[in-house]
Order: sequence, then structure tokens, then C-alpha cells
Amino acid sequence: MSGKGRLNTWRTLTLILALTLIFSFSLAAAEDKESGTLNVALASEPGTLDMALSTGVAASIPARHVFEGLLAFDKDYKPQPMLLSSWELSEDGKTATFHLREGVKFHSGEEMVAEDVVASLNRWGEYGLTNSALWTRVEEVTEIDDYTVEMTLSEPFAPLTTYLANIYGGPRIVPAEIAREAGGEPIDPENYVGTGPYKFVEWKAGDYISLERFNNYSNPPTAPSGFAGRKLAYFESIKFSMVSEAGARVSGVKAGNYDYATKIPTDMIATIEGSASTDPVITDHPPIYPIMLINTQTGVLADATMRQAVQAALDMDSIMAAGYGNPTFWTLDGAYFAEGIRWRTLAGAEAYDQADVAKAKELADEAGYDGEPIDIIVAIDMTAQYNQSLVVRNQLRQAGFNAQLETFDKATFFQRRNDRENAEWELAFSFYSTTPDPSLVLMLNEDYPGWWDTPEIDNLKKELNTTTNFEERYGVWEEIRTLWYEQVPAIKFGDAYQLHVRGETLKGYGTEEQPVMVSPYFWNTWKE
Amino acid sequence: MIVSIFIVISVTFILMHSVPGNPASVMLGPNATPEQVASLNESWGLNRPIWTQYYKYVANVFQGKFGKSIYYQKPVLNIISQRAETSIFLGLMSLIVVVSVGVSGGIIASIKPNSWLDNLLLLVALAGASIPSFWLGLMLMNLFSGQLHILPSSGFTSVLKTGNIVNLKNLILPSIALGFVNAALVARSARSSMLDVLNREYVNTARAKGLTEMRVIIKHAFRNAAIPITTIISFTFAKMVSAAVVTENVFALPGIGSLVVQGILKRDYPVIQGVMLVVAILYVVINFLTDLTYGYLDPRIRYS
Repeated sequence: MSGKGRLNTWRTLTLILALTLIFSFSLAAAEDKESGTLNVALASEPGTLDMALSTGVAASIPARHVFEGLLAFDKDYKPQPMLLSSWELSEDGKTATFHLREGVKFHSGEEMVAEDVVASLNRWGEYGLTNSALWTRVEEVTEIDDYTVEMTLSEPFAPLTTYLANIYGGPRIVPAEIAREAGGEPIDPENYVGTGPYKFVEWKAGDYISLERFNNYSNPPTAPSGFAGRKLAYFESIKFSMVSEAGARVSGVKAGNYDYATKIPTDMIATIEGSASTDPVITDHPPIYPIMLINTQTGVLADATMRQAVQAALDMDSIMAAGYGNPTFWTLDGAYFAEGIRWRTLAGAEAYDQADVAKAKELADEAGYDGEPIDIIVAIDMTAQYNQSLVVRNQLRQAGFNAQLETFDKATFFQRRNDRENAEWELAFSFYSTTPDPSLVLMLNEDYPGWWDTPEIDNLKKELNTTTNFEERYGVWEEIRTLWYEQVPAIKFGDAYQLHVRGETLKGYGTEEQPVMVSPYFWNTWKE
Repeated sequence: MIVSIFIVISVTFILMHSVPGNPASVMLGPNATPEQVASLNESWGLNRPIWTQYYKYVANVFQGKFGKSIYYQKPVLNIISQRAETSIFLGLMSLIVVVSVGVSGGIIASIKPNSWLDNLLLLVALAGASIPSFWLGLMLMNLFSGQLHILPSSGFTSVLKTGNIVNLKNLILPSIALGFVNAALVARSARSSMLDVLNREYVNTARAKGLTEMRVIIKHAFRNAAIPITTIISFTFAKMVSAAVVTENVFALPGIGSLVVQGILKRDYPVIQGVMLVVAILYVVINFLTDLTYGYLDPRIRYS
């Protein structure tokens, strides 16, 4: 063997050795991260894990570990392929072709194919909660071959991928027979079969939901980023316990019974920071939006000038402080979308936080207001909203309005609020997660309580949905926000952040690639 | 009994269906449109006339069918039986606290009425009656779980399913919180019953016969004072099994009390109706067992 040949052999051997060492270290590191059971304390029990029929935060947390969509949001809330290898849109923007990743297994062991995707999308289209703007434009979803699905639209729909990646209420892919059997009812827990890194094991009513690692999980090839990319399931199992008492959730994390707990009252941050075994988690990426809906169709606030009068009377500082206390957890913000979201605009925001009683009275006089009652409704078990409603009532009274407050439990509140035929309210309090696209903002839906339905907004909505260029769409959104402040279909008070708590042994959470998102996720995390 | 049960299920059904709100609106959440809520209610059959639903429900109950939970999609009896274990163990362990603290405290206080010991015990009883159980629960949790790390803070894993009796340690703090609050009432009642009996002539006679004070108190006085105490203890037990909502919430225990509250909040009609029926039966059974105990405590009481 020549000297050169020996050198090459040595180089090859060295390379193999180096690769072996790197692989061994990687394996060792992965083994180090192998963890037993992750215990998570949820503040409330989900209604169902079937995300086609739920937009609840509590449901989304366990559900995102079990079910996956065609696309998922990365850390910047941009849709990225999840169950897809790629997708493309035709030149006229009316045909979307989705190429599925091959070899993706359901928890039942069967491979996910186009038939499952078509059935899941059709079910979501027919019954899903967040489909309307998209589905009115979908003409057909067809199976081209086992790994290709085509969606035909009647007209281009710019936020198509955003709808498909939506965290709350977006379509998740389940086996075709399960989608067809469930129809418009929530999928039975026995049929919770998804493609996620964890599979459903048990839901003990009012007690816990348990998941276990899915060993045949097919990871996407991309790097982890937010809800998208590679998902390494280090935990053998995850147990989501329902712990309604906030003090018990915090004590539980301190004592090591739980590794993570959601929705902690913000005044407990000192307790959490003061303990060596707990760390606070502030979910400010993005915040939630406390909003007061206004009945634009019936009652004294059907007049837009009266709604402007209400808007002029409000002092947002006091309202946000009443709802969220410690200023670490809220910010005044006249834009709909918070800082860092590409749709953010302050168009029209000069009408935000006026606290101008004289102007409010003037506008009310102009509208011919004569002391008719303004009924405010709120769910007493939504504490922040209830606290805010008390302040709003007082501010409106000071501005000369006959504001009356009625409180209900959540179920009654929703029924009252949704009853358009017999709407007996003028103002209703709620809060909303951010949406990844303006077309998903619920107040723009004419069927959503508040029932904002004017020719001006109707035209702008059509433009927003059919324009494909981002800059143009952004311009339309600016116009919508300006109109919003003029017609006042709802009033956003500000941005609010939630406090969660995690045990200090939980690692890999809140990294640059996987920042704290709107609600937690536990792949690529482990316990020490 | 059948009449009582019929009344309970009828009243529960009518009350729950009269309350505004419906399960679909809770399940679908704030983002659902009214059309979506109506559509889901329709698929669950909740848009049928109320009397049709009532007739169907009563007919099913008398055939032993309690229906499926709207929320959990599981048979109501399965859910109740899962929850019953926690509630029964919690009730029994709290009963130990009630009897050991309440009855013994009441007897001790009655032996020397108006003494410092009596006053101290009365003060403790007053504190027990006044302290909210959630506060006591959180304090116990903070001390024994958060600080000392010697007892778990919350949750409960089935003893029957796992065969592991150690799981009962999860119920130690809840049973102290629940038992202590209820022990106060029993202590007051035991004290007054014992005082009443200790002033009777036959007690003086027993003392005159030269019996020891302990024998006089336990064998002669307490046995006769036990009937009203038993009545209170039995109903306290029934209450602790079926309505320990606050304690269950604080310690995240999956019990009957929180099940019915969650059922009401979610408008899960089959669950509420099922739990109310089971609780009604529980009260009837405990009442019956209490009556049998009377016969044992006082042989003069006989039932034909």
C-alpha cells in the first residue's frame, strides 16, 4: 500500500471514529434526557380534545401532543409543513396541491394517506369552528394518489395555510373512518387516534388525561421551531391533571408533584420567584386580548355614535389594572395585534384610551341618549373580565350612562350572549387569543355576537380575503382598523399576559428555537 | 324509597333543564357561533320537547339505564363509580378525624363543664366551625407539602385499581381539613348530649355503686348519649362523602362533590341527574343503617 493510500485509510478511520464518538455522545445526551412522567396541572378540564370542535386553550394543550395538522406554526407564527413534505398553489391561486410525507403512522399503526386527509378536511369544513371564511371558497378536496391531495377554491384565499395551521380549531388529521363516524359530534375519547409524538391513553373524568410516548412517531425533517419541526418525545408519559385551585397548583409544583402548572393568578409571582424549586413562565408570545363586545344590531348601542360615546368614556389604565393587577402582566395597546406580530398597526388608535367624559356626554347627546339602560353581561367565573366589567360600569355611570351589570355562570353567559333573536345585552366581556391572520378575528364574522354587519366592513373583508399580496392585505387591514374605531363593534382594552409556573427540573423549555408560545408544549423538553 | 327517588329525579331534571345555558355552548367555547351551538345540541337530542326528554329519561332510569355523559362520552355509572372510591375513602378518613376529635373532645369537655379545659375545647370547636375548610386545606398543604415535603399536595390514585394502600397518604391532609371543620359540630353536640345524661339520676346511682368514673362515663352515660351523636355523625358522613366540594377542589381530588359541581357548570345533564340519584340513595341507606344502630344502642327501640 502506498503512503498516500495509508494516509487515506487513516483519514477514513479517523473520520469513522469521530463520527462514532459524535453519535455516541448524541445518544448519551439523548439518553440523559430520557425522562419518566411529566406531570402538568391544568386549571380547567377541556370539553374535548377534538380540536375541530373546540377552540379552548385547555383542550389545545394535551391535544397538540396527540393530533397534528398538515401545517404548524413556527416560533414566528408562520405556517410550516408538518404532515406535508411540500405544497404548492397554482398560478391563479385556486388550486392547492398538498404532498403528504410518506411513512407517517397513526397511533393505530396504520399509515396516514390521502383518504384520511380528505375525510378530516371535509369533516372540519362541514362542522369545524374556524372554517367558515375558508370553506365557503372550497369547491372540492380530492385524493389524487395516496400521498397527494388537491383543494380547489372558487377564488384565491390568501390565508389558506394560516387556517390549516391554526392552533385553536384548525383541522387535525385523523383516520378516515373516525372522521366519518364522528361527523358533527366530538370524537369519542376511545377514538383519539392521531399522528402526534404522544398517544392518548386515558381520560379519567374530572381527574386527569394521560398520554404515552408513541414510539413509531414520524418526525418531520426540519429543525424544531415553535409548534413546527422535529419533536423529540423525551417523556415516557405525560399526565395532565385537573387542579382547579390555583394555590394547589403552585404548592404542587413547589412540592414536586407537578412539573408545570397553567393559569396562575399574577399576584402569586412573588411566591414563585421566592421559591428555589419554581420558575415563573410568562406567556407573552403573544398576549391575550381582553375585549368588550358591543351589540351593534339591537338596543341603545345599535347607533354607532352611541358606541363612539362609550369608547370615549373609557380609561383603559384602570380597566387593565382591575383585570390583571401587576403591570408586569399587561400593557396598554391601541392596536389589535401585539408588538412583534406582522399585522400590527396603530391605524385609528387615536380613539383608544380617551377617558374623555365630556366628549362621551357630547356624543351621547348627539345620539339623543335619554337614560336607556345599557346592560353589561359577564361570566362571574372569568375573574379578570368580571373585575374589568365593574370598572367599566362605574366609568360609564360617571359619564352619565345608565349602565347595569348582570353576572352569570359561563354556560348561561354564552347562551345569553349568543342569542341574537332575543339579545338582551349591550356590552359583553370576554378575552381572545391572538389569531395568526386578521381574517380569523372573530369580531369580523357577522354571525359572531356583536353581529358587525355593515356594507363598509363587508367590502373590506372581501378584499382582505381575496388579495394575495401581503403589503396590499396589510393596507386593507389598516383600513379595517380605522373603520373599527369609527363603527366600534368591540373595544379591546389592552394586551394581557398569563402566568404559568414550572418546576426548576424541567429543562429545554423556553429556548430560542422553542420559545414560550401562546400555550405550552412539551416535546424537546426533559426533566433532570 | 321508590317514591323518594322518583321525586329526586323529577325535581333534578326539571331544575336543571330550567336553568339557562346548554352543554354545547360550554364545550364549543366562546368562539363558537350560535349556529354551531344549535347544531351540536340538536345532534345530542337536546332540541326535543322537554317532556319527551323527561319521559325518556325516567323510563331509562327505571330500567337501570343512567345514560352517557355528554362531556366525557362515558356511561354515567362508570364515572360515578370511579369518583365514588375517592369520596368514600375521604369520607371514612374524615370520619376518623370527626369521631376522634369531635366525640372525644365533646366527652372530655362535658366531664368538667365550665372548666378551663371545657373552655379551651369550646374555643377549638368554635375555631373549627369558623375556619373555612379551603383556608385550612391550603395552610396544611403549604406546610406539609410545600415546606416539609412529607405529604403529597394533591391528587389521588386509586387504591382498589393499583392495590397500593400507600396511595391513601394523598387523603391525609384533605381528611384533616374536612374532618376538623365537621368535628366542631359533633363536639358541640356530644358535649350537650353528655351533659344532659350526666345529670340524670341513674348516673349518680352508678357512681354510688362505686363504679369507676371511666366506667360510668363510657358504659352508662355515653351509651345513652350516643343516639343523637350517632344521628349527627351519620349525616355528617353522608355530607362528607357527597358534598365535600371545597376540599375536593383544593386538593384536586376526583370525588362526587366536584363531579356534580362540574356537571352543573358544564350542563352535563345525565351526570347531574345520575349523581343526585346516587346521593339520594346514599342518604336513604345511611338513614336506614342509623336506624339499625339505634336498636343496638338502645335495646328498647325495636322495629317491627
